[in-house]
Amino acid sequence: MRGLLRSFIVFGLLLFVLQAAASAPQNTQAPYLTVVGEKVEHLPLASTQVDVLIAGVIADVTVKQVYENRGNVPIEALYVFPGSPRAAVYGLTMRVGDRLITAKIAEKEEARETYEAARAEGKTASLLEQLDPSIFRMNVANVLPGDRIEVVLKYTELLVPDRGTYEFVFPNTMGSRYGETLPVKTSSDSEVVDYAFSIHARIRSAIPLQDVSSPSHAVDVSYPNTMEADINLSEAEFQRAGAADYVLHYTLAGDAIQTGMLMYPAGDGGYFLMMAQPPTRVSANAVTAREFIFVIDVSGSMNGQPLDVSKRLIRDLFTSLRWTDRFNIVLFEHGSRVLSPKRSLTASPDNLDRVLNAVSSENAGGGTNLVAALETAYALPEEPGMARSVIVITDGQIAAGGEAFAVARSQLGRANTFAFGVGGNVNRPVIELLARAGNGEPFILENFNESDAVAERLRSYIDRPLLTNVSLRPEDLEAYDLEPSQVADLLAERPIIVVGRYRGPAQGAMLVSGVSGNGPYQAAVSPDANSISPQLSALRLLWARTRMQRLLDEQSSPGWGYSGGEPNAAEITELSLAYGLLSPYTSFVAVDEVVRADQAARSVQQPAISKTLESPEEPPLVAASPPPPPAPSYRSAGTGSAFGLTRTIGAALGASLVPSGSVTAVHTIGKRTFELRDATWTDLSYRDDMTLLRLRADSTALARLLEARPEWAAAVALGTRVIIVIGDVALLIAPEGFSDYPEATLQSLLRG
Amino acid sequence: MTRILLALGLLAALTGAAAEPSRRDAVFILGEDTADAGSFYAPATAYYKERMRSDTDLLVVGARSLQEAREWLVRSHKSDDPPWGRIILVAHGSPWVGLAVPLYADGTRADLPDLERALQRGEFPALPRSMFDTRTRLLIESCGVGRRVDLLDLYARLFGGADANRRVVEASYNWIEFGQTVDADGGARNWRSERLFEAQVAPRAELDATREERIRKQLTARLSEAAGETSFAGELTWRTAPVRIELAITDNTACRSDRAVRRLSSHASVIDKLRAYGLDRGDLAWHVDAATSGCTLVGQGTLAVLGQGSLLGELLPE
Repeated sequence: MRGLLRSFIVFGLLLFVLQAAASAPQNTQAPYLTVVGEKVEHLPLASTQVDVLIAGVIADVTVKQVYENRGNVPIEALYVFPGSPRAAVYGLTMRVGDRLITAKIAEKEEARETYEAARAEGKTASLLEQLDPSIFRMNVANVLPGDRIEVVLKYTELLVPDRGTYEFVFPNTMGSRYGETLPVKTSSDSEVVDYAFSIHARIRSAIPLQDVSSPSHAVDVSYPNTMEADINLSEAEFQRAGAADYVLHYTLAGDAIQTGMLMYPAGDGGYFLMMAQPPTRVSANAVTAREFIFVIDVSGSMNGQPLDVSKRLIRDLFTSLRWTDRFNIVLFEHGSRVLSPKRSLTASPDNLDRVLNAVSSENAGGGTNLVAALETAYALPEEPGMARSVIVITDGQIAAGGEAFAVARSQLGRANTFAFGVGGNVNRPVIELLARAGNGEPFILENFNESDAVAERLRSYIDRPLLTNVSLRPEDLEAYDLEPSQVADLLAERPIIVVGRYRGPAQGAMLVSGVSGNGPYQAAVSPDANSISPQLSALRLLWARTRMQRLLDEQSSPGWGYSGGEPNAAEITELSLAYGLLSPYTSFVAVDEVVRADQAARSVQQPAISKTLESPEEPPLVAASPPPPPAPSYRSAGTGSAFGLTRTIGAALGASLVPSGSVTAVHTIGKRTFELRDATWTDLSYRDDMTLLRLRADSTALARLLEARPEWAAAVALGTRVIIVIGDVALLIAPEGFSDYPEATLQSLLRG
Repeated sequence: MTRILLALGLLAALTGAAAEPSRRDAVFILGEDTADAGSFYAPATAYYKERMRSDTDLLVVGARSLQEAREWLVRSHKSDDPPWGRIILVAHGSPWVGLAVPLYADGTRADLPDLERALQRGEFPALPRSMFDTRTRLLIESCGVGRRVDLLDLYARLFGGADANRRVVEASYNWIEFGQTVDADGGARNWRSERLFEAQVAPRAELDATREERIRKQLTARLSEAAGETSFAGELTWRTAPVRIELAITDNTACRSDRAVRRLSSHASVIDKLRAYGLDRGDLAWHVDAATSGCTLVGQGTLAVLGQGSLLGELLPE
């Protein structure tokens, strides 16, 4: 009867937990341990010990949580705790007393059946499930009085630098993702007086370290040598350290960024990671012309402050635009409407007024249809060489599941998609889903007092595209299964990251090409001797984790839910089992085969199911097409390859975004000859000491000049930047030129 | 303690002002903070944003050159608008380099000769009178640029043109700081502050302890005088920067004379170079380095600055 009652309580509690997971987000929580049984016993979380090894850009994390059953009856524990949303969880062990149990991974139902059967038989067992991308739940059955339980979780994740600073975060709180507070014991209860949190990190870098610090905790940093650092919590931190997320920052000497290609050979092929980083300092010239399309939710729930904030966001972003930039809006609810369907508007104050008035005049209505609005935005006529960014502004109370993800992801090579969630009750999963579709960070504003700060953060994140129309082409490398298959623009605050697989030897390079503010750009990213290593096995897990996330997103109903169709479930499950990674369809389960009633004390190791690690062979995925060949009059003067490529993109981007190699071309128009110099068609009679007037290509002043001197038009049409010599004066026609000159100056030009 | 350095013809424009619609202000944040330069632009943006009339005034954070600022002013001005009220340029700078901002969108930081050249050649078109008139004021928010009358005049001419009546420009004599303070009730207060500073260039490549102490005392005395106090009690920051000017001389005979140093250092190109940084010939110690062909004239000194606050930003270009 007691067993039956316990089962019932467990079931009821699990049901409650699952319902809570689907409810509205609430306040920050600590991880908690629930004791399942007739009464709550003392089972405090005694300590959390975290060991972090950061090698290059990959963090390998071991988390050991220690619990002690101080009661006098056997118990079953339910433990819910946070993890990094990017973590690839690949291992779990549990030690009960002196018994070590290594979990195996199995399909979710099978794992639960195994666990329930073991529990019913009086065996100690554990079950680890993923409730959410960053919330995990562990059930531990048959924990006897006096037991000391150690749960050791292992995961790996990729660290992506932001403006030259690497950040590692170990979450101690569950944020607002998970459900409301449960009426159960938590590890932060007052009776837990001896809880200790400790974290030790070691950084091993290939480049000397410059600065290591923690904005969240007081830490002691020691440097065994210039390339390594040991980071421990300061003694004074031990009491409060577990109450806040632990954040570690570090930078490399000279603002360097680890960039390039890492390769892990496995069998006849392997896995790779390519990172292309923006320079830490970005000159204004490097920024490409931009087009911003705001896709704004004008449904009823956006009325009032959310729409006001949306307008303020547009106004703020407008102040950072250049006159070469364009913008547009798509308003959506049932249907969608475009302000300027033929061409996005220039960044003029009049047009800003038009945009703001259009938003103001909307009478917010009923349902929402983001997919149609996104398709409308992506279908707007494109300007060559212009970085297009689509900014979705919504409170997330919309239909935006896997279909919206797929639409946005399919445009990754043509448009950047950003998600800005605004409102008192933002549907975070929707915003995070859209952000992942665009390979970016989510921006969420729930407290309107923070609107300026969040809007500014969004603006600085999106307003500096450095490389657009980016494409990848493997060279002497048989790469396939790239994730993502299309590459988004390189932003000043967002690198390009691609993981993939390869066949054959670890060699070759990935050619990255695109358009920068200074013209065409191309560079090769290739591994060096130190970046091909069997020690980089984490790349295999990171690739699988990335692919699983994409498959989950594609089939997502709004948010992290699986109530709708799950066409990718089989593929995700297969990946999870093959790579030994936790997923929503699989769980880690560990069973001590000893019936604990006899209190036998022996260690039991249960190895994971051994399955083939390789996925079925698939045809190689063709990366983005190479750039179109240069016009016939072009000639290449590069060295080493057709484009004079640098060996790694880091060297090329680290200085500034400039066209690599020396692709040159010559045009003769009438008596003038023009050569392409630094992305400018330059009249060969131009001298540096000449007076240089600068006119904007779309200015009325230039139109007047061309009306009077139509023979100049062919030269002006050579490109976006042209220098023509007229008498003793040179005229630069460029997007960033002046809009006018005094009449006397123009007349002087016409007289030549 | 902002000093109005040039205010020519201001009063003449006041007549009839009552009938005119209110003028708009425009603020340009001409840079962004970097990890190694501390916080200046972000708090300056917050400070001015708080003081803007958001429905009419213009706050631009995306311009990074004087040309872009000028174009914003042109493109944001409607035909029936009155001329601009205040045009405020916010940028790092110093009395020695002026505004640390390029002249053109595709250029590098402009120094005094760059500005003079652009004006002389008519490469940078001034704003028309309908946008910049005798009542328009150009405010430069940059550290100590108010000490360089020559530079201020050039900035005024860039925007206001050759007409002296349109050259109303203000800049602080002091070091400028912006910041944010959070009150006990959690409210944020954005502030702007001016810090006193004094500077001196010593004709020495390096300062020994005795000389440094002497200069410190001199500068402290000047600070006290500027603050109107008998002795200056505030916390002070001391900074130094090396000054070095080189000029290659290809003519061997020019290097041989005993008086070569004096003669060469009076050369027009040297004087021009010094003038760009607001320095005099006597500020530096001069010598000639002989070379196989010709020689190199070298002037060396040390710029010493003593002031309140952080003295954020660079004193001289590298």
